[in-house]
Amino acid sequence: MKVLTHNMMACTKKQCMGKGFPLAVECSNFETLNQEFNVEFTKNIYPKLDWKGIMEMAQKFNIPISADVTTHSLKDEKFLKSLHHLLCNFKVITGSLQCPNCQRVYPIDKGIPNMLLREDEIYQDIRE
Amino acid sequence: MSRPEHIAPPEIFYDDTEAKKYSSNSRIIEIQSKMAERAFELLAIPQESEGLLFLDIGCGSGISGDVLTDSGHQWIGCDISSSMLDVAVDREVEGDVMLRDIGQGFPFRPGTFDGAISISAIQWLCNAEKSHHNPRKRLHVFFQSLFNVLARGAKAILQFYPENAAQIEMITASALRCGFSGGLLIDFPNSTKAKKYFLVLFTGNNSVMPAAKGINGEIEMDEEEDSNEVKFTNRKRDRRRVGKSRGSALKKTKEWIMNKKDRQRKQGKEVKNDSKFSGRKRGPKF
Repeated sequence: MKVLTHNMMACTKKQCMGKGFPLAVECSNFETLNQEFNVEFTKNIYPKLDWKGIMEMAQKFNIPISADVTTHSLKDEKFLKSLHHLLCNFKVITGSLQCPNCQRVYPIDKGIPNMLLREDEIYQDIRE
Repeated sequence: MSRPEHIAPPEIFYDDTEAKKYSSNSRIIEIQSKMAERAFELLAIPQESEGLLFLDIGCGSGISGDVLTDSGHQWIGCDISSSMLDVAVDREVEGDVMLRDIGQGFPFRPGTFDGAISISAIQWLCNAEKSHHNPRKRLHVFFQSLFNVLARGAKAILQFYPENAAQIEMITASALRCGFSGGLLIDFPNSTKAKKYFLVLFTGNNSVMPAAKGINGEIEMDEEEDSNEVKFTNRKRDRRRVGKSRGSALKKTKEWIMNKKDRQRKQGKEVKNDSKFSGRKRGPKF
C-alpha cells in the first residue's frame, strides 16, 4: 500500500462516515520504489490530499515537508518532488491500518490491505 | 457459454490455479487488455492530460491497470480475490491494489478519482453468494459509493457480461437511481461473440454518450453475408439444373410428377392412370 493510497482511504463503516480518516498506520515492514517524478500528477493530486495524513506519513518516513500549508507553492519543484517521492515511492508491505473513529483494525499483508468488512459491519441501511 | 458466477463465489472461483491463467494465458490477457483499452477510450480523457488518478473495479491481476499505466496515469484497484491480487503483486504492477468486496462500497474519501473502469466484474454483484447478500442492496451500495468517490464531471466505464435482460435492467436502474447519468453502450450488437456491454456513467449532466463500435461495420458485414447467401443459393440452383441425373428431380417437371405418382402407388394410395397428358407442358396464359 503506497502512501498515495493511504491518503485516499477512509473507513466506510456507517458510524465513520466523514470521520474515518486518516487511518493510523502501523508499519512493520516497508519497501521503497523508484517511480519517475511526474509533475502533472503531483499538481493534479495536490488539492485532493488530506494534509493530516500526509504529515503523519512524512514524519514516519522522514520526508521534509512543511506542515504550514500557506508556504506551499506548486511552482516550487523541490516541494513537488519531495511530495511525489512520499506519495509514490513508499510502500507498506506488512502492518495494519486503524480507523481513528471506530478503532477497527485492517491488516496489511504482502502490500495488500485487507478492507473486507464482516457481515455485521456492512452499511445496509438504505431505502429501496 | 459457461458462467463462472454459477460455479462459485468470486473469492473462491478465482483461486490460485484460476488466477495463474491471468498471468500466463496470452489469450485471456489479450482479451482483457483489449476491453480495457476500449474502456479507456470510452472515458474520453483528452490526450494531453496526464497524471490522473483512476479506480479499477475488480482489478484482478492488474491487466486492465496496465493500460492506465501505459497512458501515464496512476490507479488504485479493488478486488475480492486475494489470489488474483497476489498475481498482481507478483507482476509488479505500477498501481496499488487492495482486498475489498465492491458490494460493500469503496473505502475512499469522496471526490478522489478522476474516473473509473471495470472489466467483467459487476455481473458478480447480481448473485447472492451469502445468506445476508441482497443483490439489489449491494448494487445500490456499490453505485452510491462509486458516485461518492468520483470527482464531479468524472466518468465510469463498466464492462460486464449480463446474463439476461433483467440483469441489465437491474444494474442500469440502480446506477441511474444513485445520481449517475448515461446508459448502456453495446459494441458489435449484431455479433454473438464480439458483442460487449459497457455501462457508461457520468457524474455530471453535460456529457454526450459516445458512439458504439461495430454498428455500421456490422451492417456492412450483414450485407456481405446476404450477398454470400444469394451467391450460395444461386450456386445451389445451378447445380440442380446441371446435375438433373443425380438426386431428386426438379419440382413440377414431368419426371418429378411420375416419380411422385409411382411412390404414392407403392404406398397404396388412389392414383390416376398415367396418360399422354400427365405432366404435360402447359401453354402460355394471359
